[in-house]
Parts: sequence; structure tokens; C-alpha cells
Amino acid sequence: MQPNNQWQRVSPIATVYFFVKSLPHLMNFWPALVPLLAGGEQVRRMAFTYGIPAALLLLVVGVFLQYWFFSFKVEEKRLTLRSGVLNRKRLTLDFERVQQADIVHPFYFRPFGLATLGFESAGSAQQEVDVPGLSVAAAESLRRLVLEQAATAELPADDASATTEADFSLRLGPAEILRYGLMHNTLLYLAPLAAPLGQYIGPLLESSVASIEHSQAYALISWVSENLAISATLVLGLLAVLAGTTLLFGLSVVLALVRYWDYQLTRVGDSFQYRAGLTTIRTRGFKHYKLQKVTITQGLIARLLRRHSMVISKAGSFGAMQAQNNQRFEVPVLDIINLLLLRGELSLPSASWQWVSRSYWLFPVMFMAFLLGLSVLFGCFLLGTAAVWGLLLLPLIYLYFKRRWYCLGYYRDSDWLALRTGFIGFTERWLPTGKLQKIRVVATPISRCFGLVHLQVWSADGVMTIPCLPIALANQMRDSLLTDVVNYRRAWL
Amino acid sequence: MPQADTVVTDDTLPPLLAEPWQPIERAYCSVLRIVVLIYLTIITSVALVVMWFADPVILPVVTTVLGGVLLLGLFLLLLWAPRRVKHTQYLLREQDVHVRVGFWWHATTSAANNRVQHTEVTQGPLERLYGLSKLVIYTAGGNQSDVKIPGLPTATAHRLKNYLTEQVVAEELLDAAE
Repeated sequence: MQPNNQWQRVSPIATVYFFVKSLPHLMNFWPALVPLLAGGEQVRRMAFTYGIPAALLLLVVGVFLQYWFFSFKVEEKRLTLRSGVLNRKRLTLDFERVQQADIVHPFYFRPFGLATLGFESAGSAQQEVDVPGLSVAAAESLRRLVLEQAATAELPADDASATTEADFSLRLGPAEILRYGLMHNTLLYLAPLAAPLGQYIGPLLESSVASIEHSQAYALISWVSENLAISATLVLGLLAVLAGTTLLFGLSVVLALVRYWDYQLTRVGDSFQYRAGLTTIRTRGFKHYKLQKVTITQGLIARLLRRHSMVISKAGSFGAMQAQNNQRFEVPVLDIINLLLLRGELSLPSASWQWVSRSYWLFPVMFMAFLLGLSVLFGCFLLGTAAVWGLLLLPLIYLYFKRRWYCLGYYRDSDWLALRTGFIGFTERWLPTGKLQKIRVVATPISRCFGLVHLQVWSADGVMTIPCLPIALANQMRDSLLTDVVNYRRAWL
Repeated sequence: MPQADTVVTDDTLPPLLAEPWQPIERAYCSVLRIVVLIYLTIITSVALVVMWFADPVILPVVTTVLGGVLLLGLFLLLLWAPRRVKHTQYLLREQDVHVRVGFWWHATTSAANNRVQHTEVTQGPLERLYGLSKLVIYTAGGNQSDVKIPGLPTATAHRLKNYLTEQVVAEELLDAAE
């Protein structure tokens, strides 16, 4: 799609997009249901015969009008959108400001060869712009135009982006995506919500024991319970937990497969791009110079599977955490070889992690020991000597904080500032030092007594704290980081 | 792309501690005190109303809480406010801007001028009474990523704001030149 200064309308199929978009707004009309409940039979009958068809008609007309009044114009350096039926809106997006350009292929566009092109721009007011119902070719060419413009704004035009030959590519098979589903089981956090159901499950189990007794399966259960000398109810309970967990993991895997099916990451020149999805195929890209933070994580399950995940963030919107998560450039699963390759692509060095001061575990352990001592003493008066057993918690406290300290490390070289935290797994956060926004050195009353301070750095995507550093070291780091920032005169946002 | 800077020739910027930090106006102490007094008045009047109407059983509790709050207020008025003002200092250099605050919790906040997104001078009614303003410098770090310098004489605040704005414009021109 070439710049032509003409107002253009999108494909009529885009009405489906507007329909889907307007569905959430229907929720705003819930007060209209009140008279239905309060009113008599007459009102309800009227509503069903006239109300519902009228509402549907309104919806259809509304969606059509939205489509009719939506138009866009591609100019050399900007994209202008007109939208809105009653409140006309005109939005201008400078290509130079575009942070990210996604092509989304929703399932309802795919039979027609259409796609939605989504832009996200930086600036004091973060904006997201969607152009639905473009033909795939038009979307691709407009996206390329925008990204090239965004690049040429600061960099000499490189011919590499014109060619489609990838300098680096990474492809994830279904087995890898399946691992992602196991690693990032967000549904598992819902499990505690199911706990109140336990009181209903108990009696249910009791009654099912009775019915199962007559079935074939009972032979197995009774065999297990007899051989392991546990009650049949417990066996059933364990089975239920097992089934529940399997279900959660199964769902998580399915969600992962839907989201990251056929994940392909490519780098051409300094622009990275990934393409993934089963029902909705998403193409998302970013330019290397816009990188604000790289996060590498490995949780407990990921550690068992020997996999990592990476998130690359650009200037973020902090108000909408959820939106931001959806906007991130994710590499869901990386085995060690791919991780090393990708780290090389992003020019992340291999870090030699520095420990922070030992006070980082000493303080909390002493404080907790003091609290524990007090409560044991108090417990002795109330419960007798049995309370002394409470002191057994002490080694656990010690191990916890010592381990936390052991896993915490920071690293600084000429281009990066990194922090690694963890307990069983780990999280590494890498910030390009030239792009730091604000640096703060904080001394609390206690830490000051021991000559320690915390160093906080703000990137354009969140804050990172390196705790318990010697004052002189922190000050020196602050000065050198600031030097990096003032000397970084290239485009960074 | 030239990375060297004509101003910064050293490996690092000069250390901050040795720099001539600027104190803020002493009058800002009065602003802080009045704010504390307003809060104290509100809390005391609420407590008095409660004491007047409430069950006599909870009277000792309310009195203790009120006593505690008044003690805290006294501490804030006599010790905290003057020390807070004494410990709030700022430093504007050619390339960066710094503020340090804190009576117990010391914090030195620094930002480079080429990361400043926009600047703002704000003035509340109490500050207006004393001819003071607050300079707020925003960076692109989202929440809390602003640098605030309170208790500046209004003229100084505007002068500093203009200085920073000029710096930002100069930065952009430099960007464009490259």
C-alpha cells in the first residue's frame, strides 16, 4: 500500500470486527433489563415481540454506521483515521512514533484473506490504533512502510529490511509449545478458589463410594486402599485432585497451543518479528533500538523441563498492566541452545553475577529470629514448654533468606545493567544502561548505620531495585550509569 | 554516529557529593507546618465529635489515639518539618538534574536531561501564600518516574523549567543533526 492521500474505506467484512468490538458495550445497557424484571407480564411480552428485534436492528445499524464512518488515509509520514458516528474522531499517527505494528488474522477474517493491522505508539498519551479488514497484502505492505519509516527516522536506510532473507530465525514445534503450557500454568492460581468447593466434594465422595462399590473400578480402588492401608475415600480424594490438576494443565496446554501455534521468530536487519497463533494468527515486530528491557525467566516447572521464557519490552503503558502484557514481545519457550542464540542476537553478554552485601540475608534472619524468640517466650507462658518446638522454624528462616541472597545477583557492563533474582527458578532482567530514565539511591535508617544503600533504576518499562550495596559503590554506579545515559544520543524510544 | 560528547571528557560524570547542592527555601517549612496543622485540626475535630457522641466505654481508646496523633503532630511540626527542609537539596548540572530528600530515609534521585519528557511548575494555595512553587520533571519511566523539587521561589522554578526545556530542545536538535 503506497501513500496516496486518499480517504479509503476498509472491506465490508470489517463489520464483523465492529460487531465483535461493540459486544462489550452492550453490557452498558443492562439497566434496560430492570423494567423487564420489575414490570408485569405485559411489559415482558412487549419487550420480547418489539424490544429484542429493535435492539438487534439498532445493533446492526450501529455496526454498519461504524463501518461506514470508518476511513483511513495513508500519507508519506503518517496515518490518519476517521471514526465515530456521533462523536467524530480523527486520529493522526506519525509513523516515526510507532512502537509496534501487529498483523492479526482473526478467524472471521481468514476465509476472506483479510487481516487487522494494529499499531501502538509511544508518547505521553499511549495510543493503540486498529485498522480492521485490510487485505493481507495491503496490511503487510502498510506495516512494512510504517516500520521502514520508523526506522529511517533515526537510522540510515538499510537495504536489509527490503529483502525477506532472515538473518536469524527460530521456530517452535508443538512439543515446545506444550512445554510452555506446562510451565506457565496461570490457571493453577485459580485452584485455591476451588477450595471452598471441598465441603461439597466430601459428601459427594462419600455417596459416590457407595455407587462405585458395585462397579468394576472399585476393585482397583479397594486393591490400592487395602495394599496401602488407606481409606477408599482418601484414594478417591487423591484421584479427584489428580484429575483436577490434569484438567488444569490440559487447559493450560490447549490455551498455549492456541496462542503460540507454529511460533516463528525472525530477525531481518535490526527488526525482530514473530508470527504465531492457531485461530488468530498474530504477527508482531519491534526494532532493536526500541528495546527497553529483556526479561528471562525460569520457574520451577520450567527448570524441571530445562526451558526458559523471554519477554522483550518496549516503552510500556503502566496504567493498564493487562494491556501491556498483551502487547509484549514474547518468546514462550527456549531451550538452552536457542536461549544462547537469542541472547547473542540481542547482544546480551554472559554475566558474571555479583552478590550484594550479606546484610541482605543477615538483617531479615536476625529480625525474624528476634520475633520468633519473642513469640516462643510468650508461647512458653501460655502453652508450656511445647512452644520451644517453634524454634525449629529458625533453620527454615535461615535457609530461606540465605538462599534468596545467594540467588540474587547484579551485573553491570558498558551496555547493560542486569539483576537476577530467584529462589528455585530465576528471573533475569536486563536494562540497556543508555536508556535509563531515573536513578535513585535510597538509604533507610538501618541500612545507613551499616553503610548500605539500595539502588533503584527506572527504565521505560518499570523499576528495578538492587538492594544492599555499599554506599561508595552505589554512588559510583549511579555516576557511571548517568554518564552512560547522557552519552547515549541515539534514538531510544 | 559520534558518541563522544564535548562536555563529558572524563570516564564518568563528576561525583555528586562534592557538587554545590542548592538548598530550597526555608519558607517551605511553614508550608509543611500548615499542612500538618490542617491534618491535625481535621483529626482532632473528628475525634472530639466521636468523644461527644460515642459510648463512654470507648472514651479511653479515643483519648489514647488522639494523644498519640497529637504527639506525632508535635514531632512533625517541631522536628520533622525543619529537618525535611534542611535535607532537601537540588542540583542542576549541564547534563543532569538531582534531588536529595529525607530525614531518616535518604533518597537521592537523578535523571539525565536527555531523558526529560516534559516539565511542570505547580503551585498550591499555601505555596502561593509564600511565593513558592514546585518543579516537577517527568521522564518516560511511567508511574513515579518524576523528579520533584519542592519549595523553590516561583521565579527560580520557572527559570529552571525554562533551562531544562531549552536543554531538551537542544538535545532534539542534536538528534536531528545526526
